[in-house]
Amino acid sequence: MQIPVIKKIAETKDVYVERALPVDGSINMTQGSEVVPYDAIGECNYSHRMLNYPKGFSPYKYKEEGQFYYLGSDLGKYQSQKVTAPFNGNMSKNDDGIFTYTEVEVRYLLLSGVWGVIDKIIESKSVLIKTSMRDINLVATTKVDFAGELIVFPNPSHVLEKHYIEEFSVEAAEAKIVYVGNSVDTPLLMEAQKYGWGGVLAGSADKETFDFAKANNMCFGVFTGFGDHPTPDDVYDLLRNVANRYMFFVGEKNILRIPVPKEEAVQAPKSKFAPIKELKTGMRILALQKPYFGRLGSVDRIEGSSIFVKFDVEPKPVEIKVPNLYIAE
Amino acid sequence: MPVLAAYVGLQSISGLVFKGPKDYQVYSYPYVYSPEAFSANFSSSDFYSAVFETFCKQSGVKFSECEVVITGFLEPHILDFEVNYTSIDKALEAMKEYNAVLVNNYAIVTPLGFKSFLPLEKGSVCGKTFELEERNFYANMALYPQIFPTDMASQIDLDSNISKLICNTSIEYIKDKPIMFMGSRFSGRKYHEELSYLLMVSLVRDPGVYELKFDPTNEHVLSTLLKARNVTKASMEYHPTAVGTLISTTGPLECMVTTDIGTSQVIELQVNKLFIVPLSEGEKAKIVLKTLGMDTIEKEIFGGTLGIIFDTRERKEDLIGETRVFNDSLKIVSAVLTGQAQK
Repeated sequence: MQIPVIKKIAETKDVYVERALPVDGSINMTQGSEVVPYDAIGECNYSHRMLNYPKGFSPYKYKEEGQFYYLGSDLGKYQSQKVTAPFNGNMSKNDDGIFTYTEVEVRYLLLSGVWGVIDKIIESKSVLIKTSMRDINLVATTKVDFAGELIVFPNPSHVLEKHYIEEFSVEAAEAKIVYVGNSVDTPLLMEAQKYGWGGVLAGSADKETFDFAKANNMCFGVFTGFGDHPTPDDVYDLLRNVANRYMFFVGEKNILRIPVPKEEAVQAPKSKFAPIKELKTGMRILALQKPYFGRLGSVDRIEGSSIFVKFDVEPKPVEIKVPNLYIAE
Repeated sequence: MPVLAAYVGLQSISGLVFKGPKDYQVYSYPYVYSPEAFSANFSSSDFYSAVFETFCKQSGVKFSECEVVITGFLEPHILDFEVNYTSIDKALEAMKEYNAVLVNNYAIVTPLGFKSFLPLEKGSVCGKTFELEERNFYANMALYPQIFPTDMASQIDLDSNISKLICNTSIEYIKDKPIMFMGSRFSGRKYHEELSYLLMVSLVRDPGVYELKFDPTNEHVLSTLLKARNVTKASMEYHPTAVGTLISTTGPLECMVTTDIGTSQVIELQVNKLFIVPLSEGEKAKIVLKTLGMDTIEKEIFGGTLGIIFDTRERKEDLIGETRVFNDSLKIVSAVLTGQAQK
């Protein structure tokens, strides 16, 4: 019986990654230089945050365009409520009467994020780096692109307790991509948004949680599907091994790209990947049938369209019906 | 030149490799391409050419030597090898000898048009809002289109949503022509077979006498594709599976059934019942049917997997929604299928 083959983790050599400054600045590298992820390849002065205050907002002692306010000082009033400055910044009034508060420019360092060789430089703007990646397939993603350091939470069978996440978030997860476990719910995504996490990854989520992420333009992806399903073991093992590494969430392509050093890069097979293969005893499969949805197992025996599969969590082989499975490579 | 005709549905693929008159084979493959699961490794063209190569190999021909004609729901996939495309509505229109009804988990298509719903967008069908688990199942089906529930309750929910697609209206069938059910919902697998038959009954809402058939391999769609390409098919022996004859009234009925071998029985049925008199495929019977609001009908009818199905439900809506009738029907159909009913 020919069954489609799914490959959750793929090696890609000679990938080109563009690293760009948010505004014009200077590039500190030359063509052909080798880089590692924490190399600062460029820098610029850049204002990170900007807030638009609603109509009716009245700034405190506003006298001139671009007036400066210190962090924590009185910024103004809105609906009789005092507003304090969330950061050091400058206030300006737009043509439509709305006030915009912009953070003062700070030095921004552009990190390489990958192991590779500088292939091309666009002066003052960006560099193109030739690198190797390990791509993990995400079956559902918001169509957002984001790059950041990966934080990996343990892989609990239930959602982490809220207070633990709060403690952790405030300290460490701002602007980072956080793998939160087998499943994630909407309250956790709200927390992530509140604390400025860069992205959220999980094994699964309810459809409504996914819709929340989509509606709020969050960087969000799941590895297995919708509901409460585990992350495949090999995906979790890989994530754990690359925790704290810089990585690239490519929502449009449904992948999480993990940069790998040259010595870790695996030679891609020369033969073309076979989309379907004859199912045989001993092969690994990804089950797509409750209650084993998302679990990897190995084929014990084949009886027509009933495939008996051994899972780590079960003492005896379990029947999975074709087509509720893929061959997993 | 051999011809490969393919129907790529939402959940499965059907293929026919035609080498000449009386020399063709029909194949089913219970998977379709999933961009979310596969696009990082291979394209839809890679996938479909691998599947079509398998069909051809089993027929002893080379895929590269085949002319390929393809249709699909809603539109055929655009592939990067040479293919002749036909839209599904044109293929259905060409099936003149049947009332063609193509059904999948999201749509009902007939030559007169189609009814469909977007479970992920709307989260409801015909006023019924989906539960969280149902929404998740549909969302997973968008990622892995081929999956089906192994538990009967979930399949009943899916079928109920399909049936609700036609809400309180009906599909217009031409009464002298058999109704032919096809599409991914009825092709390939054989799990919860009784539900497939009850879904067919649920999709006939107007009173009358109907011959029911179904096409588990979508062979009729495929032979229509060949016909459209002027490939000879004079010797193709096409035999859809006969389900039987549905006698649908909106009130009590009396029906005299006389079989070929001369046995007769009178069926008297109260309103809101579903009842089956087994009559095997290939057998015929004569009926004299009396019911309120209809002239007496005398007709020769045909048997099938189920036989003669009497449906006296007053309000012809989603059968699954009528819990008592549905539960009784489920037992009756299961009994007929397992051969427990006395034939």
